Formats: sequence, structure tokens, C-alpha cells
Amino acid sequence: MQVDDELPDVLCCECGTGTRPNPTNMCVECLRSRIDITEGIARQVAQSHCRGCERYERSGGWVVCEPESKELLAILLKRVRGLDKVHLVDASFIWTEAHSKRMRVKLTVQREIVTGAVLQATLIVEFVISNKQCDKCARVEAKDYWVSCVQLRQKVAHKRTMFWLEQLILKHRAHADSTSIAEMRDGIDFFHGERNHSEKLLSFLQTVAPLRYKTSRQMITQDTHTGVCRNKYTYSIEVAPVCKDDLVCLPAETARTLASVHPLVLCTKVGAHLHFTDPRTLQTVELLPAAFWKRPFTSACTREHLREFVVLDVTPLDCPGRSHANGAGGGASGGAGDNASSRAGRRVRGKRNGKRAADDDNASLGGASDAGGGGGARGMQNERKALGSCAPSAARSTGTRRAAPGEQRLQLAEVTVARATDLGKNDLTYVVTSHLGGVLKAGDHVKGYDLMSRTLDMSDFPALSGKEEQLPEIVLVRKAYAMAKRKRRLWRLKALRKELDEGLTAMDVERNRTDYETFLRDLEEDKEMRAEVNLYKNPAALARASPGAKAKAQAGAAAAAVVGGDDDDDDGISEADVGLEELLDDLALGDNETFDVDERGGASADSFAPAPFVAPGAGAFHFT
Amino acid sequence: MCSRVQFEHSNEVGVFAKLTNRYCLVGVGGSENFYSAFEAELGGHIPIVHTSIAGTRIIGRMCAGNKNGLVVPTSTTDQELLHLRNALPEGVVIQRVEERLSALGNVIACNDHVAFVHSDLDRETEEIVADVLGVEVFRQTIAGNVLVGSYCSLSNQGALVHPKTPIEDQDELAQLLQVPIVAGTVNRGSDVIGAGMVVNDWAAFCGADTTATEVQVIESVFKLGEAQGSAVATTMRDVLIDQLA
Repeated sequence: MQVDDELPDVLCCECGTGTRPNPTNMCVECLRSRIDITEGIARQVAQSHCRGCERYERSGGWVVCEPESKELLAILLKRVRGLDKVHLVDASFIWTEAHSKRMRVKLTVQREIVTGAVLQATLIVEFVISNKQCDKCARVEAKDYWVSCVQLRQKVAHKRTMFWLEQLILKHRAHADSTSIAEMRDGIDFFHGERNHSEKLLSFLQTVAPLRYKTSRQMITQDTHTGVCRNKYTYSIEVAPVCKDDLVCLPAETARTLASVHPLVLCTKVGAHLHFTDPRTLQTVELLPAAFWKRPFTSACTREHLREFVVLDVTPLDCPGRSHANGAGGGASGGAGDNASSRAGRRVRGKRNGKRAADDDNASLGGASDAGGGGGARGMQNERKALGSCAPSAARSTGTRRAAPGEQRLQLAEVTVARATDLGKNDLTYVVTSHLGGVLKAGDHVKGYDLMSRTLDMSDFPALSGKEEQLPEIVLVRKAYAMAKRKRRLWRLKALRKELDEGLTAMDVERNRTDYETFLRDLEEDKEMRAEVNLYKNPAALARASPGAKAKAQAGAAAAAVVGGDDDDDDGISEADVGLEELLDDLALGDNETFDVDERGGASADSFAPAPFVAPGAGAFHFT
Repeated sequence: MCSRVQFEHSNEVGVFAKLTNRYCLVGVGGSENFYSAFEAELGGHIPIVHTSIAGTRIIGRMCAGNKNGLVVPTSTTDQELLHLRNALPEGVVIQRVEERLSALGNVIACNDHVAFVHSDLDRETEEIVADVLGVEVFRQTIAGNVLVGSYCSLSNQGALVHPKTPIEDQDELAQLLQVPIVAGTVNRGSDVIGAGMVVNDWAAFCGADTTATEVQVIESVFKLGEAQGSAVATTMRDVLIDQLA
């Protein structure tokens, strides 16, 4: 091809002016006047914009765009009809007033008019911004902003399980998809924008709690032409109403399937499965949720029924083997019967409650006391002192294993206890076979169920109906760590940001507050439980802690001394105290949509446990 | 005089007609409009012959000719050849050529003295063209195109060539032709000059799309209409006066 410079001008075939030869052999002006390549391109286009969420409508949905951003330009250009016929070379915004509801875009387009001849033209397209409410905003306006709801419920008298699950959810961020969370009387509601978000939460909950669920669907709208309908889904989840430390009488069939365990068991752990331990034989069984819901049962005694006892003596027993439970069926109050010989020489003070004691072995009747015969407060003091001094040596001599932290702590022992309320009034003592032999020692306080003094509803013990003699007098449940004084907690928990159920009464609020405090103490007393949730440093409390205490805290033994007595050992402290190394630094997430707790001012920090239930939306808890 | 005509809605006049100083061939069309346009302009001066060549109507592209003769491709039937022999005036030689490039109108452009041919044309054909048409034959290209018959239009008065012909090429062609040469277009910017128009020394026919500017260019370069009259008065005047004297 020739270089254009060598070519002579030809006359434009239209106007006769000399022009460079081109495929049309027309001058540019004549071409422009004859051919309009912008023909068919819309010059004024409507663009929808939602005022509620400041988003622009796109073919696929709604998107947020900065003004005059390239994303916005892309959306606008998609709107222009006829642009597919031409080649778009350039596009740019022309500034317009924001409130003019107009956006002007300058387009440069090219189009091949004949082979080898491309014409370029510039045009301005005006976009008229029209207001249109997006689906989401429309639903919000209609108070209809969820598609799927998870109703988590546990039908028990307290909320500790809910607090526990809340912490697990927070730790695993299982609530991240929730659009809103509401506190209900017996549980929590999680609302989701999509059904699979609920499914996700459900499958998470199934891994941490024994539950059953029901799904239901409610049709909201239906398009009869296309058959497309919109539904709301509800997942009603019920957590088994059995909690840790509950005394349970298993249904006979259930007990039979669980290695024929004695029906009267203590619930020691609630996870995806229910864990039960027979306190008199140490037999431990697990119950699958499916098996539970096949024959559901309730707890015979719950934490509300716990009474405090004082340990007077602990005699470890050699673990008699798991066949023990079967043997216990025949003998009255099994453990006591088997170990009658070992217990024969032990000191038992006071008298048993006559009727029950008659069933028991004669050892319990050998009520001669050799120490504080007077049975008064003074005598008890002496006794405790004596026990305190002799217990460690006894433990050593008998080779009792004091379980190291994290090790299996269950150790069968005969524990001599007296009611804490009886101290100073009478000398009644009881010998109880307990699984707590590893953690108890003389002088400790222990909590347990006093079946003897309670008026029992035998319908709670269906498997034992007619065999009331098998009921033990006392079931020890857990060691009690008496709070010496109200310590400021150096840690705190996060909480979900929940909406409140309007139906909550002041009594409910007060009960919730008590339950929460109980839950916090449980956390303090149970290291394994603590390990499963996130504890955060409470900077306010840390700052206020005295330098000495701080140093102590940094040494790993934080300031909260827990057990009231002088006879505390290291084990007691480490068990019931939260070390600083367990705490996490809080990440300041600002006020974004997270449901985590944010900081609240120090004003509330001095008051004890500002109730999480009285400040809707604020969600800031400081536990001091 | 330059007339605008159309052959059945086609502006490619040079495809359907062949015009020389002594005869005019016109393709057989559905209507006589095309023919009558030629008849009106040329009637009584030269014979206007309806014909087909090799059974086709695109006779302008199939044959090449001037006042001395006419070369047709071998595909021309005997009947057509006979018809042409009968219709053409005395002294016009008709010759069939065996040529691979059978669209002779596309590969040969000629006036009464000079012919440009496709650079790949057979030597025999070249000789026949030289003999039958009585011309000097040059192998040439027009603006890089080998189809010289399509991209230029020649008469004894001037020549119109492809608009992208460089100045040097134009000078060379003018040297060979010894007539003025102009680069231009027909049919509103079309550069296939040979297909878009036919011309002889006193008449030209171009497609109906041809603009006034193009007509003006054609008339001026081929010295048609008033320009011709003035040419008689100016350039020929000396000769006439010489002869008269």
C-alpha cells in the first residue's frame, strides 16, 4: 500500500472539496452529515436508585456505588440501548448537581460504515435517576426482613444453657449470618435472610447440644403464573431439658440400653451427647440425642435443689469395677452395702434419720463419737481442725490419687458429710458414696442433693417406683467454692446483640441476672468449660486492680482467692480461678454490624454485673 | 455528455455495457430502460447491440474492445459470435481468445491506441489484443490492483483512475496514454471506475448514484459536453486553421 502522503487529493463525491482518498471517498463533514453512527443509541435513559440503601439497580440486583465511580459507569452503560451496535471507545462523567437527579455521560463511539472506514462520534447520554425502593428496603418497610428463623429453646427454669450456647456461638461466629437475634423467654431466636444460613446454624448447634428440631414453612407470596413462591422457614430447636449436675432417673428401657446402668445417675456433661455418671459406681454412660428424644425424661433434681454440705471425712474406695451397678440393684443403697466392712470402723457421728437409716448398714448406726461429743459449734471446729491435719497424710498413706489437672478426677470414695445448715445445731452426719473422692477432702464444702429431706415426687423416678429404698439419702454433686468476698472479675464475656422480648417481666430479668452470675461462677470453677469459650480481658478491672494484685495476676495466679478457708491448696485455686493467660485481648471492631459486645463507659463498671437483659441494644457488659 | 443510468437497480453500468467509438454493446435486461438511455444518447451515430456473452449479461466485464476490434472469451457461443459479427460495423474485427482470465473486461483496459493489461495475461492473448485492437499493450497495475479494466476508464480524451493511485503512477500512465489522467470516483465514492461507468470520445454513462461533483470530474477529464465544444475551438483550432490555410 502506498503511504497516504504520496496520494493526491480526490474530490469529495458530495461537496467537491479535495480530500484524502478514503474508502468512502467522502470528506468527513459530508460523512457526518450523511451518516449518524449514534443513531439508535438512547440519549435519555432512566436509572433506578433506592433512597433507603443508596444503591443502584443493576440487572442482577442492587449495588452500592460511589458517585462518578467506574462501577456506576459500568452500570449506567449497561442501561444504554443501542451501544451494542457500535464500538465504545471512551466514556466519562460530566459533572452534574447531585440533587438534579441527572447524570450525564460523554460517550465516544466508533462504527465501521463500509469496509475499512470507521467513523467516530461523541455523544452525551443523560441518565435520569428515578427513585425505586429495592426489595430489601421494601421488606424492611414491611417489617418483613427475614426468610428463615431458628428458634432455640430449652424448657427449663433457668437460662444457663442459653448463656453457654451463646458463648459457643460467639466463639465460632455461628451468628455471623444472622440479620437479627431476639431474646425470648425460653431461649433465643436467630433470624436469617437465607434459608441455608439457618441450616448452617442448626448444624452447628447439633454439634454442641443434644437437640431435636422441627421445620415448618409458611408461604408468603405466590406467583400463580410462574409457580414461584416465597416462603418463610422456621426451625424450632429444642434442647434436651437436662443440664449438667442434674440428678436424673433414666427410664428403665434407656438404662437397660446403656450397659444396664443404675437408673439414678448424675448428668456430668452436656455436649452433642448427654454424659451421665452413676455417683456410686463411677459408671459413665453417654446418651445420644436421638435416644434421648425417643424416650424423653426430665431431671429429678436440678441445680436449684442443691444443698451445701461440709465434708468431714473422705475415705477413698478402690474402684470396684463396673459390675458394681448391677449388684447395687439388690442391696440397699448399694455402695454403702458393698463397703460395709471398710466403713465399719469409721467414725460416724449423730443419728440417721430413722426410717432411712434402718435400711442402711449398721455402720451408720454406730453413732459413738470420739471427738467433739458435745456436737456444738466448738466441737465441729475441733473436728474440722483434726480432719484438716490428718486428711493429707491419710490420702498419702492410702495411695489415693489426687488427680492432676485435666486428668480423670472421678474417684470413688466414702464421704462423711454434714449439712452446712446443721452446723452448730445438731450432730447429724451422713456417709455417702460419691464419685468426688478425687477432689474432696475433709473441711471442704460440697453441694449435693438432699433426697432425704426433700419431699420427692416419685413420678420423677419412674424406674424406681416401688423401689424407694434404692434412693440414696444424699447425692454429692460438686465441690463448692464459697466466694470469700465479691471479687472484681478481671475478665468479661462478649454477648450477642439481642432484641428483647417485650414479654419479660422484672422477675424474669432478675432471674436472668441470677442465672448469669451462676453461669459466670460455673465458668470460673470449671477449667474445661472455660477452654471452650472466649474470655476477654476487662481493661477497666485490670487497670483498677492494685499493682500488687496485678503482679500476682501476671504471675499466673490471679487475685481472686476463692475458697473461704485457710486450708486451701493450690489445686483449689487453679480450679476456681481464671488465669490471665486464658484471657484474650479484645479486638475493637467498632460499631459495625457485629453482635459482639462493645465498650460501655466505666459508669456501670462498678455496679455488680450490669444485667445483660435490661439494656436492649447496648449489649455492653462489664462484669466486675 | 455524461448520463446517469441504471441497469435493473444496479449502478454498475460498466458491467452491463461496453461502449466504444464505433459500437455499443448492451446486456439483455428485463426492461428496455437501460437500452433506451443509450439509444437516446447514441442512436443514429453508432450501432447499439443487444447481446449476451457466454450466456451472461455482464458483457462489459467479459469483453474488451475499441473502434478497431473486439476480443471475447472462449466461452462465447458461436451463435453469440455470429450475432456480434452481423451487428457490428464493417471493419471491426471480432476475435475469440483462449485465456485463463476469461473476464477480459476486468483484465484489459484500452482506448483506441493503448491497452493496459493484467500482469499475468498470456503472451498470446497480449499479441492478439495488440493485433485485433491495434494498440500498444502495457502490463500495468492501477493503485496496486492488477485488475486494470475494473479500476480505470480510458478514452482517447482522458482517463479516470482509482482514487488511490499515487502521483507517480498517474504520471507514468499519462505518459503511456498521452492523455490527461485524473484520480476520481463514480457512484458516490465507489472506486471501481471501470465497472461504474462507460465512456467513449463523446459520451459517457455512469451509475445513477453518481453525484454532480463526480459527473463534473468525468465531463472535464473526458472532455465531454461543452468542454468538447470548447476543445474544438481551442486545441483543434490551430490544426483546423492549418488545414484550411
